Amino acid sequence: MQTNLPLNTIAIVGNGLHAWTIAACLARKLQKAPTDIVVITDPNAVPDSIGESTLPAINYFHRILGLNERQLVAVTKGTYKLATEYTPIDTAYQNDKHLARNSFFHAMSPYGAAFDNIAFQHHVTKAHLAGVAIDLNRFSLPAMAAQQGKFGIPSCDELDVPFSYALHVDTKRYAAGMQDFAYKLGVKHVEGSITATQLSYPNIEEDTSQFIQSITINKNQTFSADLFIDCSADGRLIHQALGINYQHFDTLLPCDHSVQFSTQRPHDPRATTQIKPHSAGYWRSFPLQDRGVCEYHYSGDYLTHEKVLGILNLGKEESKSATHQQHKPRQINTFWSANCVAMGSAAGELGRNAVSNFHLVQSAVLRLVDLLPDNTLNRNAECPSRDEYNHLCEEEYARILDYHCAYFALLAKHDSLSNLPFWQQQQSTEWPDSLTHKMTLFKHTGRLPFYERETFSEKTWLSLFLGLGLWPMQYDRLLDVGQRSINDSLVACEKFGASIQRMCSDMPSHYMFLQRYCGAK
Amino acid sequence: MQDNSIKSIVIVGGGTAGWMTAAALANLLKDTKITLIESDQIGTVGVGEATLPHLRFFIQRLGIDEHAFMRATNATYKMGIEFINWGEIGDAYIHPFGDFGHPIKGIDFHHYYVKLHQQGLNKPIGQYSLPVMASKAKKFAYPSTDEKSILSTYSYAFHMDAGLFSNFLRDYSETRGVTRFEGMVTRVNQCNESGFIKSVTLNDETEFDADFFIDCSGFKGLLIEQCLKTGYDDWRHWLPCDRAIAIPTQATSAPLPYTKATARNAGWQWRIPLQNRVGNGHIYSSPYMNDDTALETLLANIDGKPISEPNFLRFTTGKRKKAWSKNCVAIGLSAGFLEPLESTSIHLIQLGIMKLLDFFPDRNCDEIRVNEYNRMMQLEFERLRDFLVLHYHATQRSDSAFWNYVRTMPLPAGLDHKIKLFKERGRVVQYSEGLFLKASWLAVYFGQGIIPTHYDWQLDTIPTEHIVKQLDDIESDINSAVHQMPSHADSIAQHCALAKSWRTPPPRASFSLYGG
Repeated sequence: MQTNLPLNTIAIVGNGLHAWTIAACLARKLQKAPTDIVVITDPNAVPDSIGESTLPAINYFHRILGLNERQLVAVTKGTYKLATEYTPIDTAYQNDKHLARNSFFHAMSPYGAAFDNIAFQHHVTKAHLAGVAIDLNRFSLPAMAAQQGKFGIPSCDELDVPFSYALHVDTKRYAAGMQDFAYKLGVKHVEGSITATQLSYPNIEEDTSQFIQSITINKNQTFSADLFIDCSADGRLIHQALGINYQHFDTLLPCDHSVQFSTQRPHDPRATTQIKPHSAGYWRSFPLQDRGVCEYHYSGDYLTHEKVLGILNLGKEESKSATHQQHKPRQINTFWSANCVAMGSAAGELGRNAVSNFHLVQSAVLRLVDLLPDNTLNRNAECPSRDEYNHLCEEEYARILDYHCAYFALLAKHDSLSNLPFWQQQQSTEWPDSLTHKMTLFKHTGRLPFYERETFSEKTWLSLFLGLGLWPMQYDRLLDVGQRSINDSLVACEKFGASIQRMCSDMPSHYMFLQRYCGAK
Repeated sequence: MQDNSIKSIVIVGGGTAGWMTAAALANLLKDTKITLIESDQIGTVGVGEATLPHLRFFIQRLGIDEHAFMRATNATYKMGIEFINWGEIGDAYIHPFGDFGHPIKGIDFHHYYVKLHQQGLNKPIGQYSLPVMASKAKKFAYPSTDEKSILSTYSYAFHMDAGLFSNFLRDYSETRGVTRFEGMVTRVNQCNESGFIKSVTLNDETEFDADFFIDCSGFKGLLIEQCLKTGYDDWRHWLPCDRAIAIPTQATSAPLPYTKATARNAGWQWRIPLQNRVGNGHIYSSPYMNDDTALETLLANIDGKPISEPNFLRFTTGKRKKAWSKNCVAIGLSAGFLEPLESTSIHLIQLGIMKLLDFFPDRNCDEIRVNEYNRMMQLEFERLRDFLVLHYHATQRSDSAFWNYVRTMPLPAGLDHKIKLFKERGRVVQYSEGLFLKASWLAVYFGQGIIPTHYDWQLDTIPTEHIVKQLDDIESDINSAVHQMPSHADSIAQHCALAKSWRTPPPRASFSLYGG
């Protein structure tokens, strides 16, 4: 009989948030297995982000780890996230204490409901085409709560409308928490720079890819492992040692620089991540309990670093926290090659406008646990689980790339941006076929095509399109059958909106919730 | 704005496809003129037909009383299909409309089963499925709506007389304004510029024009192929059966609550029990078996007296390149043919109708809409095809040239990977859009001797005695639940009895194979 033994050793090469999140999850899932987990961090690595804005999937991730959410929010000085707040262009960033009224609050759960067996978007499209102004924020409980600065977790039985939320966390505190958690579960930690890697061929077939046998740290310490996870910033193992290349998305994802800095704590923070376009990219900001986090993403083709510093005009405290980063929009060609799995920055960079690498790392490590090989990995050229892992990652990345591109594609059509050179450039970009198909089908039919492995559900895509101004030219033909009129649709929508308003009015303010349950001062 | 909405639809062809389409359109498109043209000279296959649980969803959406439907079509219940002689001669397993066991500590049931199997457990995995055990005991009851109950872990469909079903839907459609014309379409007239179909002309020279046409004319594809020439993908190199003989027989015993599919030397034989008779048929591959031998084989393996002459059929397994072209959608056999090994024929009709309504066009039939419809149908067909191919390929049979071919043939892209992934450690390739999901793949893998080399080794941290106890508990829960179920025959008699007030209403249907 063949062996069925778990891996002896997994080595994680990388730093901070990503490395410790991966380590904690593996350690938790392999708690009872005799697998050793080692994290090898590089003291010279680039520092982490200041904060992270996450997706609802993080709640599942925390459940897997067995973490108490409110305690975690308290420890990481986090806040809640009900929606992404898409704000129109505003040149005076300092003046945004009172946000424009026409912000779109994009919640991560469906808007409206099917009335009369016909999906919500057809009812609002019918009204929109007839010239009725539609305020989408009124048809989603989390969106409306976000707009009103509220937060609460409705109890299950009273809840007949969709509701989901995510978190904003302080990166350093979160990483420290994960490190602590990993230590308690027996993860080992080694510090040092990788100075050499030793490769080998598996002993069965010759014409396969090379495996990593061991790595040398600080020129004198050698570590071998059955499986290596590379989450280093530069793809130290997957790219530099194994020679796997990247495909680049420079034209699709135009922001290749960013400045991140902390700001003063907003007085009454909303449970939102705010996204706002500027002349050569976008702002992204979100609150933590003790400060705000602000990111300025831009294209190096249109702005110099000096010019950006002039625009930002940072105060003394803000400057101290500011980090400037260069990005390479790209994706690794093989996510898992031989015995090395690339995650986080080593796997690629797709920007941060909706999904950051932090989310992709959580998703990757859970996928790896699902498809974990046994300790014969190094002796077999063939590994169907590895093929499956790669296939799933490719589909996941393609869908997220579409989603990030959609932001640029849709904003470039707005009048307020259309005469800015950066945004003009986006108008002529050739977007991925899958995204073009999605937008065209939606525009023509009010429906979305089906693709497997979406990070965002069909309904989330749909509200993104509507919220950013892509309205269908036609709605479901069945909506005109019989005696149905626009008024029927409007009455149904109004009724739904009113019930959301009622639920919303009972919710406490976001900050009050944080003070009551999550240790905010 | 110009009104481009579709005002009139002509359906060419009756049968199950034509009348299901007519009924669904009549129910939803209340102000559209719907005409169906069929000819009594063209017979339909009209034997027993096995369905999938999704049909209940269709019936309920149309507002049809399930019991009235059963009475009208001599229907019986179906909880799965028994496959005999597929993995090896002498093998038998049931592919049920439900799961095996339930996940324990977040790990799928089948890993526990594999572990005990490696240690010598020789029970089939079907012992841990309620619909399998109920089928074997010839029992049937409605699934429970209580999610905690083991009686909620399955779904059900019907065996029915497809000819009677068409008649039933014809009544339904005609009371809702569908006009039926008797006649043969002899000419299809296209618009010179667009190539759109303008009208069809019958043998008596009557001409019917319409904004939209639905081709339910069967294999020949009168509109979609003979007129619009969309082309056909031939899949016989993966599914080599291309002939069938059907023959109904008298029932000699109470109906079974499942379909039987028995593998033969160059194909397989179906057995579909109705209330009053049994539908039988032999599907075979003409390069490997001639018609006479096929008929002999069939006649030697039926258990009641034939009640009509054998009906010979020919087909080419495959798919129309575009089910929707210009202003014409093909629904039913005109869109493609997959052998009824997993009872998918009516399901594909239903899916074609539902997607058409989802993407219902105006008179322009813009291409983007048409392309998405075709893309979805293509995906569905290919996934069904791969699942059917698995039944032939996953075999140790080497007793005939036919089985030697299918056992060793090159597989469609992706199927080989699916099988390897399962063999490696019991992992099933998951997708969300598709008919046959994890439970079905497990049924066929285990039923036909593809057993994973390894189980999830997280199980090695659980003492074997605990696993044995868990499995024993599931088994005894199932046995006591089955024990309390009424017999299939009693359930039919009770549900089809006329006094409505005494009948239990059937549970709500969902668009899923598995229930729960």
